[in-house]
Amino acid sequence: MSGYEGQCRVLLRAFPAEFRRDHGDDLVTALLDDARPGSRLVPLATAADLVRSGVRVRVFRSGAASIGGSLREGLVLSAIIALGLQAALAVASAVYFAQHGLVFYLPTDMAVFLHLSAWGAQSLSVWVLLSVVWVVAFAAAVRGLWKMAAVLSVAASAYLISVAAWLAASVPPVHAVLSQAGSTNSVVPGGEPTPSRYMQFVSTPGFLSIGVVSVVLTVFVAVRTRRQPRCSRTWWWLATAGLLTVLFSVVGDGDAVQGGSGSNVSTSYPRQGGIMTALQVLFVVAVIVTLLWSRVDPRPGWAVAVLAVPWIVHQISDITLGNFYYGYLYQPGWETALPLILAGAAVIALVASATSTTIRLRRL
Amino acid sequence: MAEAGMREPTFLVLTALAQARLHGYGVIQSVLEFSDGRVRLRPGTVYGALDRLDAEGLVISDGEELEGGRLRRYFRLTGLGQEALAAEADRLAANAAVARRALRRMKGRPVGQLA
Repeated sequence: MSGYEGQCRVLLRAFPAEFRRDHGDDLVTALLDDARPGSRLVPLATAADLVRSGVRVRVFRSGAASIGGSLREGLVLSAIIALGLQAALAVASAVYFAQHGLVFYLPTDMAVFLHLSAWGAQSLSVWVLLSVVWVVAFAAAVRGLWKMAAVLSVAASAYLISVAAWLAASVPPVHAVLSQAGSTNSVVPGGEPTPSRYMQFVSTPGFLSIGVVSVVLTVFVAVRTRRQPRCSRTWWWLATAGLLTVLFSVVGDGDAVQGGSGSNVSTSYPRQGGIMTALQVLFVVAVIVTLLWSRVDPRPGWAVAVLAVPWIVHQISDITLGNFYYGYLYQPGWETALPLILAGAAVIALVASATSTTIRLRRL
Repeated sequence: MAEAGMREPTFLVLTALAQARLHGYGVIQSVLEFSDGRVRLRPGTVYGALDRLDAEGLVISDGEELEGGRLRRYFRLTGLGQEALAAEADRLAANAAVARRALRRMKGRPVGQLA
């Protein structure tokens, strides 16, 4: 095999495996015929054409060359990403809990977060068990076992939500606790609250609804898609989730740790920690990369648009629930609406890009 | 089939296969020939198009032959492919006819005073 043919075979990896089985050798033959005699390097234009054509074939073979098809593929992708994030957050939260006796992660909204922080401070085994369940659910989805993933993620969420509902009845809103304590300073870590600090604090559980999104998406994929999609790069997905887990464990909740103390309600008053910052950065990077990529492949565009929903839901719940839970402490500034506006704009841009690419790909 | 018409490479691949059963590189050569050397399709584009046309039932693979020490798979147009190519050719011809008529009507009028 010549060096030229070797380069061709490497570039052929842009095409899906089934295509390479069907046409790989033929395409290499055509590439060798097409080459100028004596050339050692595949010309840049030919290489670019291979990559572009390969992505086109991938999109087309996945059935994503129609609006319904690309939306379905996007939902599958977003379910896998959401489960991966959820699993990474769950493991990192167990690690964090073991280190600090605090909880930074929960699969649903702020109210649940507050209540479970008070409750969760009592049991490490619950967090370890939950993280195992989420990891198995993610691995099952990656391997194409969607029914198993759906059952596990529904069970984990149902457990958390029922515990949270039970606690909601027994734990009063924060402002009531504060007025009972008689002094703000004795309960709020770091002294007098400032609006910007509370804005950050309230946005801390922004990622929490990723859990709910992952459950909804996983059940949707398990029930609605005829073909149970399986990732072709199992180890790539598992390794990526592993890296995210390490990242989340390392960044922890940053400043939020300071001032926390035991199972006091004040421990659920973290400032915006490293996790939330990491998630925000990941989200912004994902939006930019996906906007560029969705010019050729619409699937990640749908996926990231769907994954923006937790941000939007959370921002809306901040504005509505914040007042209820923090009373006079909740003084949102204009910055409170900023993530909502940015996430909304990102969703519109992603959907527009994915739609126009899908329509373009429908042409024969 | 597709409302906005075919992409040009697809149209050219179908046109080449309407003339003869060909392998992938044969398509490239044929297009190069009948376009008087103006259009040189790239292998990735040709096989991407063949794969999709095969899935849509417009072309079908038609045996393999050993040539120059390598196995080459041939493709030919199906009935569906003939229909699609005919429809596209009609569409392009109709557009071209409109353009020609408009240009004939313009004749004699000095350039720059079209309106």
